[in-house]
Amino acid sequence: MNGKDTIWSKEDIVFIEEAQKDIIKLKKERVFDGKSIVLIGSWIKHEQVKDMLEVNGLNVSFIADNNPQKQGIMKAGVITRSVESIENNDSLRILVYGYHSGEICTQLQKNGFKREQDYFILASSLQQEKIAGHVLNDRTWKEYKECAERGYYSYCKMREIYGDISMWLMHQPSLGDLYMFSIFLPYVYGKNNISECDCLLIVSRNSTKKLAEIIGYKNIELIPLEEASKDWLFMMRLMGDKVNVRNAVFHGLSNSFLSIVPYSSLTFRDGIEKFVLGLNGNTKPLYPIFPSREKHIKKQFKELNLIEDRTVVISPYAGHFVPAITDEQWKMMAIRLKQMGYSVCTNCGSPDEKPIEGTVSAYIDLRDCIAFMERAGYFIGVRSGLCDLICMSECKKHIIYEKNATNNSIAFFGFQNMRIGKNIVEYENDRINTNLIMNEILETFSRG
Amino acid sequence: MSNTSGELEKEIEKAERGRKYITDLKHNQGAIVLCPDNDVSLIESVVSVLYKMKMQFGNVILIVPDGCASLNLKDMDQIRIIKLPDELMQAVLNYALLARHLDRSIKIVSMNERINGILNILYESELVTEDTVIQRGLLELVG
Repeated sequence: MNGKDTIWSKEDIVFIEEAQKDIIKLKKERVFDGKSIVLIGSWIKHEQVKDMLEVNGLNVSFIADNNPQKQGIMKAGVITRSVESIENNDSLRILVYGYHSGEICTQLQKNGFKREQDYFILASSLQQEKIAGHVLNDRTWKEYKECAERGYYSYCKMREIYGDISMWLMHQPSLGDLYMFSIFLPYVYGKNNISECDCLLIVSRNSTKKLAEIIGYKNIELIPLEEASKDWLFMMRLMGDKVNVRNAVFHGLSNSFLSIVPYSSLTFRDGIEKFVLGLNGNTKPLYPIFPSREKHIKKQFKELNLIEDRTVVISPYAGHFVPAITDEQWKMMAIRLKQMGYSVCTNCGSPDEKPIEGTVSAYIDLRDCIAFMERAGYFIGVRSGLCDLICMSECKKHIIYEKNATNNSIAFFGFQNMRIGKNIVEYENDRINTNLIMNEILETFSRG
Repeated sequence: MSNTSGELEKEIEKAERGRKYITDLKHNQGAIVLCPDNDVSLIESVVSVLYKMKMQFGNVILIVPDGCASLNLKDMDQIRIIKLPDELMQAVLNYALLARHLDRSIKIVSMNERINGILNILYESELVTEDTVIQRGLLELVG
């Protein structure tokens, strides 16, 4: 369990297919011959694009980004510079992609770069097909309307079952988002816990449904991810306050919050507590109580040969980004911990998540995450949704963030910044000095 | 669905009308900035940012409500002002709410929760300034 499911939307898949076609075509046309390649685009797509280029025998020289917080940072093993610092000479070929393509192209043109000569838009056919002169073409427009109709139909069905109670759409299948939402939601209803809140929670994955049940939601409906993240959101954009459903996360309906984050000290907590729920008082988190299945956990510890109070749970996986810490680095850490007399297990939430060599694979049921950690005594992991769930556990937690990673920044997701959790030590990995951080963590164990 | 779809149809019809209006504008380059609220100070702030940062936006069409009586705006360098009556403004807004997710050069500058989420709490709590909310959050200025 890493608390976040990897999301490959249809749009992601289509982007990859189209971008691949473009790269192959440009390579055939010898556009990259003798040139350095620069990437400008969505931060989360850089790794995909770099991989596509490498498959075609092409290397990226650097990434450029207008966000000062990303400049000077390594992403996908490549340094990031400012867009303004790109030299306008014939030695570069720039690939542009993602939401801000339009603005970036305007900026590049201003700086004298020419389209289809100096810079190229990846998957541009998708954009051109969908919109021209700010007008959605007939096919896309029809598709949008159909999405909204399906969303509205589904909403009306819910109304038939649940009547007028307020609905919350948790379209993001993230355990961390659901947890954070749930520790503040009772304030909206003037209640003390989730089970007293008269609302319907709509989720899009079994894992979030399960967590919602554990936390105590009375009314939960599971709908397919595609339906939640497309049909319902289209319907909500169009219908606004004419429907009694609100977005339970800070994205999906508008980009406004996420656009402010890089230029502020806003946190994940602010995103949910203030931007989503509109709470502006002295709200203290109302932590849910997880069930206690001591017998089951005791048995699991025995089966896995783990030592009570002297086990380290390593959590190396996160669904929403690829951590920089290598298997080898984790392996070395596990060896040292075992030398110090600790038993070590890897939190493996799916068959894809293999245990770190030399450690035991542990599948930790959502119900048991807090009790399991408390019996173990220690947790070392990259920041994932699981960290939210166990933030109040008594075990000692070492949580590793990646410097300036959009989906993993300590500034935004850090527990100290959010004033949440206890027994947590936080580390920021600059992806260069990872070994130093691993040693720093090990030092705390050697001190006892 | 037939009993309940009337409301939806009404909103879709409005969006269709908004789409037609945008089509007729034939504005192929640069941003379209929609300010649907009767908020003179907000619109003035937006104009000031658009003017200062015109290179990021290109040739802008700024659409404001014609009910903003105290608003005295004239076309300026790279910024064309259009004043719309409420009904047409709502139609354009409905279209823009759907289209802006594909076309990031359509901006809707509004503090309305339905449109952009609960933003006022962020600056009331002094977590960010109102200027940051307008420039970064609503106009999505980067750099």
